[in-house]
Amino acid sequence: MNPLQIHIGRVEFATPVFVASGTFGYGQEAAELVDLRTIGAIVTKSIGATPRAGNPPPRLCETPAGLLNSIGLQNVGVHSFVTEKLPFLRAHAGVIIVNVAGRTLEEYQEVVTVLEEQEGIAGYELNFSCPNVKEGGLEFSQKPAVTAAATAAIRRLTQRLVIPKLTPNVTRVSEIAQAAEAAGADAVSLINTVTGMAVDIETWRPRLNTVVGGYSGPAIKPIALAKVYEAANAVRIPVIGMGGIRTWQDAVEFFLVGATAVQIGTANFVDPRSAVQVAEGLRAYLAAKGLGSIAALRGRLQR
Amino acid sequence: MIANHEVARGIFLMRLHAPAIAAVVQPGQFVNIQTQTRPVEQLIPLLRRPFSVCQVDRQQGHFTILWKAIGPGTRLLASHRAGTVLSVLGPLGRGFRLPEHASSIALVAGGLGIAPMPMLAAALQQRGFSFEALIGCRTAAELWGAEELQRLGGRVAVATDDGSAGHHGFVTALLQHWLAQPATATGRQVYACGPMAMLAAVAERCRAANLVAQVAVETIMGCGFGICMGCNLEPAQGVQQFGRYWLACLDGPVFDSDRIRYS
Ligand SMILES: Cc1cc2nc3c(=O)[nH]c(=O)nc-3n(C[C@H](O)[C@H](O)[C@H](O)COP(=O)(O)OP(=O)(O)OC[C@H]3O[C@@H](n4cnc5c(N)ncnc54)[C@H](O)[C@@H]3O)c2cc1C
Ligand SMILES: Cc1cc2nc3c(=O)[nH]c(=O)nc-3n(C[C@H](O)[C@H](O)[C@H](O)COP(=O)(O)O)c2cc1C
Ligand code: FES
Repeated sequence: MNPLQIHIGRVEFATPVFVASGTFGYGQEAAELVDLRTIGAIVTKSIGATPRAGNPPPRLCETPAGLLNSIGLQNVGVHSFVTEKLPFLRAHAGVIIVNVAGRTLEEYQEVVTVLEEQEGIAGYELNFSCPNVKEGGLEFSQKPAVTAAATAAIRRLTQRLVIPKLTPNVTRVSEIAQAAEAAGADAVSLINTVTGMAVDIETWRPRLNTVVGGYSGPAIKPIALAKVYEAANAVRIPVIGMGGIRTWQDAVEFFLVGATAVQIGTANFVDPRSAVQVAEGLRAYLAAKGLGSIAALRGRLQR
Repeated sequence: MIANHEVARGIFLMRLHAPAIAAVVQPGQFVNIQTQTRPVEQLIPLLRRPFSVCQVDRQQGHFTILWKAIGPGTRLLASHRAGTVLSVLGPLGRGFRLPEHASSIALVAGGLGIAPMPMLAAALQQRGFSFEALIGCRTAAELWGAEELQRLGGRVAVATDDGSAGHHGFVTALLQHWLAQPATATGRQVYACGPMAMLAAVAERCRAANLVAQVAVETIMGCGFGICMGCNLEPAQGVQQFGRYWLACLDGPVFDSDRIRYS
């Protein structure tokens, strides 16, 4: 028995440690540095119906223990993804989850419709929460009714996993998670980046071209844990937790507050093997605690 | 890390033993170094820091980087002693293209832009090319590389902002002078590395002389190998980059000077 194995819907994952959208490209870039099959799942960079250039530079700024970005969903578009990126992923990766983003609900539907023709995709993570684009993005996961309608519309198109990705930039994430569950989501993932900014005190200018951006990395872990804890207590579907995870110790915290799986984001920039190392650490931790499976850890927070 | 010592005021040369990198690195390529040695406990800085490979000794499996302490990452580099084990990712990026034919060649360096030049010069020398090195820095005390490049067969000219060594003024004035000399029939090649404003001036001067230089940029980088999309550069007006930006870590750091916008 593989103690790290988990299931979400009908899909089996060899480890519960995935790489997060936008922090691993389309797999190819890191394939020289890590065997993609040793990663629980690859969640691709967000894909839209047409290519996007993203925001102008500078769109990255490091702060103590955190990273601000305003990439703005730069992506190749679904058609190039299918012809140029997907074949490589299919040949080299284990489970593939495609992250989908759109300006409108129709764009999400268009992307999923195109991808439904393609083999080798386990599911769709719906980016309802990118803070870096003017239209679409965030507003999809800030109102329960909108989350529900969008999730239901995608649910009608596919048997594959449907996983809305939620934002921390709301008052009650549990309401949004419940709306997604009621609309047929197989799981929810959270958190996307937290809205943040930084200012250069010499030039008096914002550090990012877009002024505000998305904040990620170790600095946001406490926020992420609180949101995952809240969501996991509100729904029965699996919660995929992320935000600031670098080490297996970080990941253990997420499982204890109720996550079924976790994703590694910013840490991949430092070491693209982070997801594999976190999984190895979890395996050793389970053995040391005498636990037969990662599920035995889930939600075991003591109060 | 084998050695780390000051070679000019505030400027350090660090020698690293990394045979896998030393075996294959090309001039103009860089490495991405995790500056903290205890990454689990230390979170500042979070990300790696990019450095040009300055010199390489393929036989020994060594290479060097030239660096200056400016922020938290480079300050940490100053604290490491010989024997320290650092995590180094590389070689990364596209380096300089070497000329096919004997040409008249200028290497233009501004400040720390001198870093990739010794390795480029060694490669040129090995192929039998002669070159001229134009080195600019703020003041004589911060000058490094002149002797090194001379040893590699180059003719060296220096410019300092304060006039304490060589020409009093910018290195681009030396380039202007070089461009004004009659060119050999086989054509000319300019290689440049330094701050964006200097690269813009180099590109402009070369354009006026009907030349395309190869310029190495130093944008802020998140990962160094194409997964964060944080190192984007605007393409020059009229350059089709499929509606996208350049990524400095994958498409560069060396670009043809007419391909990018200097903002
Ligand atoms: C391809 C490439 C090659 C490089 N080669 C060298 C080299 O050979 N030697 C060397 O000393 N430096 C080199 N740099 C720059 C070096 O990476 C920065 O000096 C370093 O990241 C600063 O880190 P820090 O934590 O000390 O300072 P930070 O706190 O990150 O930055 C302090 C200040 O330095 C400036 N800065 C930050 N990042 C860069 C950058 N990438 N380029 C220029 N200025 C920056 C900013 O104004 C910032 O406010 C290179 C950069 C790139 C992209
Ligand atoms: C540079 C960068 C780009 C990102 N791009 C996307 C994206 O395209 N789609 C998405 O759903 N999330 C994106 N994210 C958010 C991450 O997937 C993740 O939710 C967030 O970074 C929190 O995890 P972390 O702290 O481990 O990085 C991006 C994050 C970063 C840092
Ligand atoms: S530095 Fe990450 S994509 Fe270039």
